Amino acid sequence: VFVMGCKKGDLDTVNPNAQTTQTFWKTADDAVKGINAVYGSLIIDGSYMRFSPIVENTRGDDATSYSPWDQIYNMGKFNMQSTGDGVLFSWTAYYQGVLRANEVLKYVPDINMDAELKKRVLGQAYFLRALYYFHLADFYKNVPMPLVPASSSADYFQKQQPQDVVWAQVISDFKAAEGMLPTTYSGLSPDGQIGRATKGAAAAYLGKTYLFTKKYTEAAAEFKSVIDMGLYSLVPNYYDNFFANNENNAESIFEVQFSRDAGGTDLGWGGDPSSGWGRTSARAITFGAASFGFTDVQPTPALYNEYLQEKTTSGGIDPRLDVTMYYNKPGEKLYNQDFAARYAGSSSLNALFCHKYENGDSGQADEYDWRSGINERLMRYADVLLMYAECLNELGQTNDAYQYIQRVRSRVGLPNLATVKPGMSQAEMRDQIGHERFLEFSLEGHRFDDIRRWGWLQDAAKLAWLKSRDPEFNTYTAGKEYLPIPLSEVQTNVGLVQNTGY
Amino acid sequence: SLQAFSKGYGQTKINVNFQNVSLKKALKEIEKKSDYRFLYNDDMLLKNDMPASLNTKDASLEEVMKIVLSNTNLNYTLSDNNLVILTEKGKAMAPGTINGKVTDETDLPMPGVTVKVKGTNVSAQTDLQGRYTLNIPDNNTGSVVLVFSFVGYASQEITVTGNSLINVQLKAASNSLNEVIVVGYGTQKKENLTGSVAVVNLKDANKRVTPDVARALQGQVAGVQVNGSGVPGEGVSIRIRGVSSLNSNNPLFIIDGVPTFEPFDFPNTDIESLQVIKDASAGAIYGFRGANGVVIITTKKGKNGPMKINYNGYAGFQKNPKTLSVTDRVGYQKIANAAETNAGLSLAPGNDPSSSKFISNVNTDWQKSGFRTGYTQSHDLGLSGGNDNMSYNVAFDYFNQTGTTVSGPSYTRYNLSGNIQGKKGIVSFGTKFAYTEGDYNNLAYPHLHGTGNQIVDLVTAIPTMPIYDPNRVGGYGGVDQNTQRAISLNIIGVNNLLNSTGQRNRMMASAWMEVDILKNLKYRISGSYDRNDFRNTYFDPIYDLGWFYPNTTAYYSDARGNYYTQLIENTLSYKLNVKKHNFEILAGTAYQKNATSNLTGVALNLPQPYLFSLDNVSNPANKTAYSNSFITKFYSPIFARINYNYDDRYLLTFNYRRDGSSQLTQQHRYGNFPGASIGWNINKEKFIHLPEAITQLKLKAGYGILGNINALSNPYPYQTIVNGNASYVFGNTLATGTTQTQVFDQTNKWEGKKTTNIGLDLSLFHDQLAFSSEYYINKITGVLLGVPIPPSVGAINTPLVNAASFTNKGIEFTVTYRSRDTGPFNYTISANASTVKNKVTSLGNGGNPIYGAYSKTAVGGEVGQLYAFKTEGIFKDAADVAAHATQTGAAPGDVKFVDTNKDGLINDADRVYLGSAIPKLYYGFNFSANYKNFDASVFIQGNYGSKIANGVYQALMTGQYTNASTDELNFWTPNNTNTTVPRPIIGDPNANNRNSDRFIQSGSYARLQTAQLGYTLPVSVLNRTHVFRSVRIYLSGQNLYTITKYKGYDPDFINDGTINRGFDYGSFPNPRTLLVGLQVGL
Repeated sequence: VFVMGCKKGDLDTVNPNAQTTQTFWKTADDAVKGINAVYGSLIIDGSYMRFSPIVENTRGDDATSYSPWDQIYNMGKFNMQSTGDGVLFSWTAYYQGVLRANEVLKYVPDINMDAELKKRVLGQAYFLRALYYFHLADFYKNVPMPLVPASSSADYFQKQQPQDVVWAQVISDFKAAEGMLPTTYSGLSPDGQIGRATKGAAAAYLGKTYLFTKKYTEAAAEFKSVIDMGLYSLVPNYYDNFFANNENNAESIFEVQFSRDAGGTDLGWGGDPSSGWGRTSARAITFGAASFGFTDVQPTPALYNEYLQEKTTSGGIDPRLDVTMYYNKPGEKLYNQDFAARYAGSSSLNALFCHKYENGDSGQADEYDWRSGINERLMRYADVLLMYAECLNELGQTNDAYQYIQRVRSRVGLPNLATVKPGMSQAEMRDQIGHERFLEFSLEGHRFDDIRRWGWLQDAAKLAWLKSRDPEFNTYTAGKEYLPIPLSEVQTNVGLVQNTGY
Repeated sequence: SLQAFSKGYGQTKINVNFQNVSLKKALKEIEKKSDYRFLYNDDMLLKNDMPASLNTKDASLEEVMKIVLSNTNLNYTLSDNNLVILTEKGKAMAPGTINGKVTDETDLPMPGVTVKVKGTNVSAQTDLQGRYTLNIPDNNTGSVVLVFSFVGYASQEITVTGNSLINVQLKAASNSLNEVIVVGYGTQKKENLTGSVAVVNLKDANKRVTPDVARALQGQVAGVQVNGSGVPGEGVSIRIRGVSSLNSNNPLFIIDGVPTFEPFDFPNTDIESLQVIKDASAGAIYGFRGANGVVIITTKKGKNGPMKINYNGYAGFQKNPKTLSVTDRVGYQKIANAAETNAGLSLAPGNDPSSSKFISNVNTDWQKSGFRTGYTQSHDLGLSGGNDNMSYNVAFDYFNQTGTTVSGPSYTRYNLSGNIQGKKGIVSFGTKFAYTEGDYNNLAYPHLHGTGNQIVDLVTAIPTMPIYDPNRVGGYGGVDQNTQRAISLNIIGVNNLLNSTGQRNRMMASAWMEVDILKNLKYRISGSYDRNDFRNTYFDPIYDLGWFYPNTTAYYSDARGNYYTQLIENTLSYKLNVKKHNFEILAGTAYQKNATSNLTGVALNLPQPYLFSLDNVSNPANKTAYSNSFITKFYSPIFARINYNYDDRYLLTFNYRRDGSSQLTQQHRYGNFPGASIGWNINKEKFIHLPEAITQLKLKAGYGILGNINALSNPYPYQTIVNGNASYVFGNTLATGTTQTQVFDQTNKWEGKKTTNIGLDLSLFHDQLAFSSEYYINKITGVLLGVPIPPSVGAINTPLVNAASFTNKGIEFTVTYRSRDTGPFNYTISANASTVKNKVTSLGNGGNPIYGAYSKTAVGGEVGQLYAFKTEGIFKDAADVAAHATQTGAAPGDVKFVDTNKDGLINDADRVYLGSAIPKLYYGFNFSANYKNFDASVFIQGNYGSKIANGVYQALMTGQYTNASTDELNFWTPNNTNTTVPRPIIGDPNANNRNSDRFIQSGSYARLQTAQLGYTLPVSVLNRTHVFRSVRIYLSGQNLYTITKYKGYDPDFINDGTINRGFDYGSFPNPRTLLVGLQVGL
């Protein structure tokens, strides 16, 4: 009985654990799952789960870092190495998102499905790809720009594109998204969830991209279209923009969704997603107050002082101060503890701690489970108003800018700017907008973008002023307004040029 | 001495031609040119040594002997097997009866031993009880000499002095040439081996106290490199003739015919023989799975005779042999204060003598508290015996090792195995069963902090952190954000609070049956089932270990699963002898299935007291079962081998295997792997006259091709799967996301490994001195390599592509000298040395280099060559900084990096090669001796010529908030400029601590790996007990002394062994062991 080896077919196996691309991308349901996965890249370590808020905030003069972890400590000091994890996390996260968007754009057009749904899915893919390239160009300047998923190893090595080419692609994608996305998903099926990218979000981001590339006319048109949609308004209480309550409110144009309730409990740092991953943010523990979080990022005294510059119409302190930071004031409470009592006798008693995006008022005892459910508001209506005002000023319509700025000021009870500072010149208005944005968007990651696009780093007086406000600027050298491209990319993608200064 | 050879019948015509040679030489010549063999006594020959001359053509024995013995006082008689016995004329035989018993070294009776009266053809054989009776014709027994001989045993001569009862104990012969070596699917005489097969000296190897046979190979075989850490129960990294793949390099182990890559589940004392196949000419029969070499293990089988009981046991203690010199509280505070001052920061209150929070009463020596004395013990009990029809061997084993860190890892193993062999008529069969339970306590790490390295955590922990702190949840100390400011993990606390266990339950069962269908034609079928059930638990309770390390959510995970290998093999073998042409032909097929399945459950917020039943967690949202999978792989090879020799002089082996694997696409699925080797036993050649001292001289050469896909860890590597967990959340509802997260290569095919080797075996003075040497060239093409792809691809994986090729060349020497075992003092010296030179000949993706931790692998260089910045001292002042190439962040006191590309800018392009991570030479040296009942042995092992990037030292030289090497105390200040240690500074703006030659050290070492002293109780004492057959006690020391310049814990460390092979980031140091052992035979 000489048993021969197996028959040929016995060596054919099918993976029983996962679908393949040959069996996926067939139905409308697959298309929706595919686009959901593109959003998934917003909530991993390099994006908004942790590191993007670090990259965006530490470099501004509103925040500073005394972290014992050099990847955070050096970020705001413009001292990152190309070998560091801090610059790699965001790079990998956003390219992961790009790949996922590219997959949707490749496969979904061929799916036989409801045309309107298909349009929305593709619109979201364009929106998210634009958002991811926005971050890549904003963080790293000249970057590779794959627009289709790699189908063979030859596709792995995408040429580096100059930043303006990337901006042009971002504009093109946001434009496409604007044309395809609905103003709201309310009542739609099966994608009727709140939190998806809308026409308003695409328009606002398109305007922002125009603004960043100094195309003020186009930018103004987009912002105006958002304003004219009539869908958005400032929430009466500034506080409602930064905590787990009142998420996705009338002021929110696009926000990253986090939740403590859905998904597993493992931290979804990155890598191949598993079902155990939670959908929470580690921003709160990272930025959190001493003894409740890691205190890697703290507000600067310059920010604190700037809030005190102007009193409200009722003579009070700008309410945004208390929403932004915890500090030693009578009756200050955090995590159900009395600030002064908790820090008595310690150097933290006179320190400033982040309040925005922290869970100190939620009833939680601390942030030490790492899991924050607070959504990160990326695009607020207040930002559209102030960016629109900036466009008007740059287009020489300085007087028209007042009303839009005032809507943001009035919400927090500040007096009429037209009364306090009437008839500002274009240059004065620029500084005024700088001041307004500084206070309105502190710790929201916009400040450094503003400093850079306004050319302050190249302006000796402005740079000296920044150094006086935040000593972290002392170690800024030319070129370091962009992060180094991670060494693992430079080494594998031959021909790619490292950013100046690294 | 007396020489007896036996050989088959052959031609009886003699053609010789010699002039005036000694009688002995004359007889040798006749032996060489005919099938006659002579039996004589050397003394007798010397007395009668008349020069002889002879020139014959087709002469008969009678004609020849008449001439040769003409001038002597000698007679001859022709006995069985063409044996010619020479006797002195007129010597009368002594009549009478002599009887007695022959036993082996363990006092068991030896049946079948030939007992001869010297110089006559009077002989007898022992019976089953080892007894013999010999009738001697003459009554004069005064001058009779008896010769006792048995294949594989040293012959003994006993002069009969009036005694009629003569009992003899025979000892195993030291001549290894007749040893039978197990090769793939069969056996071969060592003398006739042509492939690169090393036979491991088990006596030496087993002096190494280890539960892992792979570890016992370290330093014992030329060309086999073993590295390992001191983690109890952790496997080792084995490289046979260098790196042959960039992913999976460990060799295949064949344990009694069952293939496995996990050889560590049974006791080494259970091994009967151990061979290492190093080349493709021999290994091809194992196909792709043997591409990294094959280690063939045969376990002990029962032998004919009454039941033998053997006990082997030892117990001892282990210690970490080295302590790194690190700063104490005062030194740490000095460095941290300087670092903060240099960064323009205020002093951390805990380090500031002017602060009320200044810490002066805590000075933890983390190494002293973290390392402890570990214990190890082992007990094996073996029972064996059998008769002509059936034999059995049963073994029980217990092993335990507690490790050398406080509450750190430990390993306990229980093993039970048994085998039976039987035979009836044309059918023989065997079956084996082995069951092992291995219990591991692993190093644990807080689940929210990813993975770090416990050794680095321990040595860099700051002295101002207390070990215990009753005020913190859990009772262990931590750092305070407002006091110490440092990130420092209390790894002692972690190891006490957290719990990570592993359990392996392994069953290995096999059976075979062989049928002698016709004379010389055999059919064999064998099947095996090797199954591992595992359970890994992890528990992270609530505690507070200070800043960055609080855990507020108790976490428990329980992962269970199994993996198994099923194998069925059929072989037909045929032997054919036509005149002097000897063939052995074998052909076979196999079918193998590998399957894995697992399930993981997780619970959160366990109530206290902690009980690890998920039923105690009441909220269903707090418990999840996830991550189960089931994977299967299939292989279906056919294989064949031809062994041919002509007159034992010309040797040829041909191996072939065709492999198929389910892991490859259909068009690349099958691979053909042939191997051939030839040998020439020059000493058997009649036309070459070698000096008499040469027992064997063999030249051999081999060539073969092996395939390899062991690198494909993914069972479905070419299937472009999508991941259904790429989910998002809208509102508070999970929104399932599915997408392709990995990129796949559909062109994967077999790696090809072409091996060429030539070798020389030389044995002198009846194998007293043996020497062998081999030169090899291994060319490996299409190496499956995870070529790092740009992160901008967006994939989370690194797809394997058949990308690289490289060459390994090397030379290996082994020399063994055994003293004549005549006196009370005997000794054996053996030494081996090998070299391996690796060269990368191509790399994938257009030849882009591959960078690893501290390394760059590029075409033209070798795998894992160290690569980092070069330094040239310290900046002494601002002018010095200004004069130097632009170095961002640099200030006086910082490290000056060399602008190697002279572009005026220090950046990543200035990194250069800083040495080889592959030793130029590996060596091992064994010395063992015995005097009367004492025995002693020494084993030294080491390597020479490599460099190590010492990641632990680098971590101790950061000049920031971690504890430091005492070298750091010599840091630069404006008043201390004569130093190579830069200024400490928080944030390290100049990246002083970046990878550089500051942390690259010599990896050469020589280690006294074992020293052993034993005493065997004399037989006379044992005989009085009527219980014990043998008793030996010994003292043994391991890892006793190391000569090295390396500043880390241990130059013998473990990592991936390829791209990052030169980087030591806290490999667990190998312990020093002292133990006592006992071996008892009943």
